[in-house]
Amino acid sequence: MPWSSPYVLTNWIELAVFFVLLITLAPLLARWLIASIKPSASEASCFASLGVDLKTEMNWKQYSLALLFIHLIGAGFLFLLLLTQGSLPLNPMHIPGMSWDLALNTAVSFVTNTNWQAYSGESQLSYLSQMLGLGVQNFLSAAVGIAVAFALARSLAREKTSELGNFWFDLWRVTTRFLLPMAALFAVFLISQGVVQSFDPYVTAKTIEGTDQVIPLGPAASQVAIKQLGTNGGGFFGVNSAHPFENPTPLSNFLQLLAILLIPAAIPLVFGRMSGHQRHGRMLFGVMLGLFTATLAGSLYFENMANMEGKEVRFGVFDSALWSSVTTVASNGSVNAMHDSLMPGTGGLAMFNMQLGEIVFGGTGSGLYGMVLFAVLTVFLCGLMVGRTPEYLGKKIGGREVIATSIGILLPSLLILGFTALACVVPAALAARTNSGPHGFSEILYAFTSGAANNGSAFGGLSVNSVFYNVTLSIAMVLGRFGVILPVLFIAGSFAKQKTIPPSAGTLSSTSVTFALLLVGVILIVGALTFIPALTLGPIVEHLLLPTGKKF
Amino acid sequence: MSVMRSGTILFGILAALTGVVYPLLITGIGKLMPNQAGGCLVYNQEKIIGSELLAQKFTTERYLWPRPSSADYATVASGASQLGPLSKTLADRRTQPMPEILKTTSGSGLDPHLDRASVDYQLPRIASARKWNAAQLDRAKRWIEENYEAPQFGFLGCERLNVLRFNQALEMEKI
Repeated sequence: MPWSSPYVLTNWIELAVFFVLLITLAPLLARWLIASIKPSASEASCFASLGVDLKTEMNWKQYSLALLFIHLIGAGFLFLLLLTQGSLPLNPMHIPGMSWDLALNTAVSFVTNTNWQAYSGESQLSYLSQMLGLGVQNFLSAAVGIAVAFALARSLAREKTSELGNFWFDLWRVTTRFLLPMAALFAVFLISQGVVQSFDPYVTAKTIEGTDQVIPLGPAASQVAIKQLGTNGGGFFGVNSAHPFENPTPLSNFLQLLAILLIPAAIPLVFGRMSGHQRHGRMLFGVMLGLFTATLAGSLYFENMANMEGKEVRFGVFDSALWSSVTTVASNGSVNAMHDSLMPGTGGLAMFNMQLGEIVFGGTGSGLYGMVLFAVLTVFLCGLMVGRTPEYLGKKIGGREVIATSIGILLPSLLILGFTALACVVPAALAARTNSGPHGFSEILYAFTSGAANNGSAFGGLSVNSVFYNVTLSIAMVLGRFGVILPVLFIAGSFAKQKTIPPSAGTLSSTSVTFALLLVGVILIVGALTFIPALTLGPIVEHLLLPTGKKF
Repeated sequence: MSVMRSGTILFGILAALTGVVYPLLITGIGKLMPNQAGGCLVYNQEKIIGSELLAQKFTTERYLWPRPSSADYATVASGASQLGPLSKTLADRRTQPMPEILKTTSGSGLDPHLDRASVDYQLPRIASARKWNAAQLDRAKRWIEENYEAPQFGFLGCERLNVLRFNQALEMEKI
């Protein structure tokens, strides 16, 4: 097909401004986040009188237990809310309760920071479910990720202790001193652009040609703000940030893009400062930025076609390709164009970004701790090569730490490939595809990739609101979340107990360019070896079929 | 157990703050921008005819048509075709001699805008349906030219025309 490039000069200016803002704002946010966890005695005593202990330090098991409990109570509360929303207030459109499997999937998806949408908000969620259900988890699931990153950083700064901090304190402060004020500012800006924020019932308009048009409303701006900042990504409306009420202008689009990456980009810097290894934190930021730039270049290259299917005129091809990359390197998963209709290379890269483990910026906190697992693996592999006991930032990596690291890295991969294989032999699962041929396989692979990596974006052609997908994806999301968090907290517990070994001449420098390159190498090799075979059956073969003109 | 006690109370407080106080506060501030917060409704003699941000179906030749919508312009729920680049359906649609924007469905199914090529493509049809003379056509072209939204700040997004605004102008005989 004679396609000319849809990219223009101003697109590249936008990209430059985007990178400049990202790199300059990330350190500022890092400082804000660190300042937000300065303890206050009066606050602690106030909470103590309420029965909440914000002060006592926890070991890794206590920290994990508190974390699991907040997920459990959050998921239970949300599940019940979704089941019973039909008889609860703030439901002007009389939307009925969800089926058990859809409610389960949605509850799991929001507590695990995946925010996968098997539902359409405007037709299946009451205003109450949106704000008190999904909205709350948008904050908490983001704060939990950051809390785990804190615990990990503290374990490296401390020695001969079992204390990793107080989970309740971390959760409370990150939510109220950091996420809430930022979300409030952003929400007000979003309203100014035309994102709706109203508790009125849907409006019925009489069009010029005399037909009725229902105009959906709801408290969307408050939701969309934290959806982007907290790498949640679950849309207020079904079509997410492609919906003009969720993302009305190119400016709202640009700042949502920035909001997706800002906090995940600040966390490695926070980690560096809190752990006392500031240069290592900057190195991790650099590795993330480098990998992001490379994969973004690929997405822009593959999408360089006049392909407007699934895209909005106000954004055009460039902003849609940029978004597809940003939302998948971060574990955000919101979309401003339908990923199912992207070119095969772009859609394939979106999958690959997630399959790397959501560590290229990744989720708030989860991107960092996932990246640290890869750093530990790199140290271990290098130690094997030179025959030294591996150390990471002065902490010895023993057999148990390596096993935990391997679980954290391999479990999501196992979930993705295992469930994809299962779906390919279950007739009901296969029937859910919209596209046939290799793209149909891509739809299934994308779904489990997104679930296990806690991303939440989709090749939306797959009809996932069925018992099979609701349940299998719930399992993938839960194991993909805790299968990484628990090994990380275990490792943090073991780091904190150890004495910190001062670096010697033989220590592999964790800040050098060599280390950064080794780390990139390990990430890409693990990702490629695990997923290239599966990607070959989907996006790669699709890409190769493009010039042949074969259609399905 | 202290975990359950602390966790339950803290969850209650946080849920109230982030799930009730926060959205209510934002809604309150939103009252200062009632047009934007309320869906940018478009009125014709005090009757709501739609939203500036949501495409609606136009079928008569006298009006500008928005991009095709795979959900037939449904707003509850909105939807997209989800057709991939190897789709036969999509390839068949692409064989029509029209601008790309008019052959493809948008991500939301509610794309309120058109690009220059797809406006130019439709203008002769509207002109002949309305039996415009050269002066009237010129007037329409001038209106369109003045109402194209440029990329924001010169570098964000794409140039576009709001379909409903144009049709409303036609209706109110401003063109």
